[in-house]
Amino acid sequence: MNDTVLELENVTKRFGDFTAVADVSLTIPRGSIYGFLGQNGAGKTTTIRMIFDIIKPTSGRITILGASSALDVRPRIGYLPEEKGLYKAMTAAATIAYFASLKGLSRKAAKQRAYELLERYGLGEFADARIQALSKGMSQKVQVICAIAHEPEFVVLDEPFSGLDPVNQQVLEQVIRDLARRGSTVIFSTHVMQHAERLCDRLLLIAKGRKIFDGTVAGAKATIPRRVLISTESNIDPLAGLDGVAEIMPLGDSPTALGTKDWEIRLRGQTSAQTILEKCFQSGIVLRRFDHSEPSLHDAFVALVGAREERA
Amino acid sequence: MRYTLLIALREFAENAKTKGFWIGIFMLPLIMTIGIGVSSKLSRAEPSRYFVIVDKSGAFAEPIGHSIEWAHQRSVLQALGQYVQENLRAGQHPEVNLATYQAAVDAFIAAGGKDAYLARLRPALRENAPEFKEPTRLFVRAELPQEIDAGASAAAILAGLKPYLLGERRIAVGGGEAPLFAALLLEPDAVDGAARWTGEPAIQYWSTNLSVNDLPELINNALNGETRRRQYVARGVDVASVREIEATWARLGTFDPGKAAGTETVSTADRIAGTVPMGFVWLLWISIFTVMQMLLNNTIEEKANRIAEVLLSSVTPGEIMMGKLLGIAGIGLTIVGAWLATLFLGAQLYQGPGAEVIGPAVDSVLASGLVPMFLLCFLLGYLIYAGLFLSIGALCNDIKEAQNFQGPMMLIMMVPMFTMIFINRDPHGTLATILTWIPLYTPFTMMNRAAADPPLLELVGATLLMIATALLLLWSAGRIFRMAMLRAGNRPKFAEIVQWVRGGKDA
Repeated sequence: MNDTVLELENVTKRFGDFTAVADVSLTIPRGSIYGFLGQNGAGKTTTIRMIFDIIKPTSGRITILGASSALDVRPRIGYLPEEKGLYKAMTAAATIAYFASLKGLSRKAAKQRAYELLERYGLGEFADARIQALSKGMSQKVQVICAIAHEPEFVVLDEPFSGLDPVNQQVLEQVIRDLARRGSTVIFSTHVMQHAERLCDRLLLIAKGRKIFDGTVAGAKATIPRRVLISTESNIDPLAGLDGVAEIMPLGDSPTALGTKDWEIRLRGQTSAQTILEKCFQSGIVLRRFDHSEPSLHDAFVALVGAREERA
Repeated sequence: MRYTLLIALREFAENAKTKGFWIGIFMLPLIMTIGIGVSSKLSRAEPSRYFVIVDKSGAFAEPIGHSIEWAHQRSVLQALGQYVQENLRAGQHPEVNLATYQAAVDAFIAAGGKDAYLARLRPALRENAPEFKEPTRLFVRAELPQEIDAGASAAAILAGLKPYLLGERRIAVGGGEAPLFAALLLEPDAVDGAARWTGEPAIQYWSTNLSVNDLPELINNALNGETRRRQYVARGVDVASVREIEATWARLGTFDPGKAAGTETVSTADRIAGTVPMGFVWLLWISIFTVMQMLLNNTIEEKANRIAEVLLSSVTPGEIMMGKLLGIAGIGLTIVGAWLATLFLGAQLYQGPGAEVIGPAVDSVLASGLVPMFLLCFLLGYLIYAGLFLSIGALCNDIKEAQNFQGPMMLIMMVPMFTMIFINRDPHGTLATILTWIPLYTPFTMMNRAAADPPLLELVGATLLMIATALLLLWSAGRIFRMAMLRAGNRPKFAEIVQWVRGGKDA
C-alpha cells in the first residue's frame, strides 16, 4: 500500500490576474492528522477544492490516493466544506444516507449507517427530524457525519470547528481522533491554533497562496528564535553585551502601569536562559517578570506570517 | 450513471413530497370539476331580469314577448334533454325530439311544452326520477311604474325610469320588488323608423348592464322579424310562404381529404379534435412552466444553502445536472400523465350534455397521434427551457435575484399563449411558419400545428431544431452550472458568462 495519501506538485491556481495558490507542493503520509493553517483568503479552501477536483489547478499536479482526480476515488474520500449547508426539507437520517450513497454505499447500508452514527454522536432522537428543525450545531454535526459515514480513508474538514460550542468542539476533536485511530488520514483547516496544536501531527501554513511552513508542530515552534521575556524598570544595556544574546527588542513603546518596560531578548544558539538571569543579578537589574516558557503555535503562526509579510 | 440516477431519485422523491407537486397533479381535475360544476350551478342560479316596454307604436311589444317566450321554451327543452339523459332507463329511447334547433323548438311549443313532453317521456324514465325543474325565466316583462305616464314624451318617461335603471328604486313585480334591468322605448313612428339609421333612433334600449347581450339580441331579432313581416305584407308577399322558405337550410357537406377514403366526412367530433391542439398547447405551457419553477427553486436551494460544494466533491457537475433534469422530468411527466389520464378518463365517464360528441372526439384525438406529439414537444420543450432555467438558477444567489430574470422569461413564454388561437386557425400561415423556426416557441407551435399535418420537412426540421437547441442550451448550462454554483456575491457580468460558455476562463 502506498504510504502517501495526497501529493501536490507545484500547484498554482490563478483567477484572472489574481493568484490564489502559488506553486504549492505537499506530501501527506497515510494515517496522519494534518492541519491547514492560514489567514482568511490565504488559499486554504482553493487548495482543498483543487484536491477534490471541484476546480482545476492552473498548473501543477495533484495525486490523491494514487489517482489524478478525486472523482476516481470518491468512495474512499470524505469532505466537509467550509460553507456548510444541507437540504432543509430532508430528514437528518435521509440526508446522511443520501450523501453516503453518493459515496458508493448501497441505499440500505447507507440508511443503516446513518441511524448508527446519529445515535453514536448524540443525535439519535433527531434522526427523523427535518434539517430545518435542527439547531445550527446539530446540523453541523449532521454534516460532519455526512462526510465520514462511508468510512473514508481520507477526510478533509474545512473549518470544522466554526460555529460549534465548546462541548461540540470536543466531540468533533474526538471524531477526528477516532478517524485517525481507525487509520484514516485527516486534513482539517482551522483558525483556532489550540485545535491544531492538540490534534495535528503535521501542519501546512499558507500565506497569500504560498506555502510558508510544512512540518510538525514542534518544527513550527522551532522556527521562532529562542527568547526570554523580561519586565524591568532598570537599564538593560548590560545584557546587550552578552555573547548569547542575538537581539533585544522592546515590547510596546511606553512603560507599564508599574513603571516597568517589557523586553524580548532573542537568544543565540544553545545559550541558556540561566545565563541571562545570572547577568541580570550581576548587573543589578530588578526583574518584575522573567518568562522563558515555550512559544505557542499561535506565536509561531504570527511569527511565520509576519516574517513572510516582511519579506513580501 | 449510478450517481445520476441517485440524484434523479432524490429530486423526484423530494419534489413529490412538496405541496407544489400535489397541487400540480390535482390542479387540472380540480379546475375542470370546479369549472363545469360552477358554470352549471351559476347558469341554473341565474336570476330573472325585469324589463319594461313602452311601445307607442303598438307594433312590437307582442313580437318581442313571443321572441322572449320562444327563447325560454328552448332553454326548457334543453334542460328537459339533460333531465332525460340523466334519468332514462337502460335500453329506453326518448319518444320525442329533444334537440334544440328551431323546428324542434317550434314542435315542442306546438305540442304543449314540457307538460306534454313529460307525459310522453315518463314511461321511459326511471321510477325514482326526480321532478323536472323548469329553468328560471331569464327575462320577464314588468309593468311600467304607476307614477310614470306611458303617454308622456320619451324624455319624460326616461326621466321617470332612470332612478329604477340606476338601482335607486326597485320596480314592483308579482307582489314583490326587483331591480329594473332594462327599458325599451318605442316611438309612435317606430315601424317606419325601425330601419332609419340617421337622427335620433326611434327604438331605444336603456340599461346599465352592458355585458348581458341576450336581451337586446332577442329584442333585435323580434324587431327585425316584425319589420320584415310588415314589409312583406305591404308588398303583397305571402308571409307564411316566406317563413317556410326561411326555415329551409342548405346542406353543406364538409370533407377532409387527409382522412382515409370513405371516412372523409368531417364530424362534430372531428371539429372538436381540431381544436384539441390548443388545449395541448395550454397543457404544454403550464406543465413546462410548473416544472421550471421546481427546477429553478431546487437549483437555487443547492446554491443558496451551500449544498453544491459537498455534492461536487462526490459527483461531477454533469452528473448533478443530468440527475436534476431526469428527476424533474419525472415529476413533470407524472403531472402531465395524471392530467392526460384525467382528461381522457373524465371524457369517457362524462354523461352530461354533449357526451355523444365528446367520446368520439377523444377517440379521434387518441387515434390522431397528438398524444405522442405532445410528449415529444413536452420533453424537448422541457430540455430547452431547463437549459435556460438551470443557468438562471446557478447564476442567482437567491430566489429574489431569480425573480429579476423570471419577469423577462415570463414575457417570452407568454408569446405561445397570445398566438395560440391565430396559429390554430391558420396552421400553415406566416405566423405559424415563423414561430416554428424560433426554438423557444417551436414546441408550442408544432404542437398547435400537429392536427393540421404540417409538411414533413417542417416536422423533421423543427424536431431537429428542438434537439439541437436543447443540446446547445444544456451544454452551455453545464458550463455555467460548473462555474456559477460555487460562486457567491455579485452576479457575474454577461461578458464573463459568455467567456465561461466559450471555456475561456476557469472558475
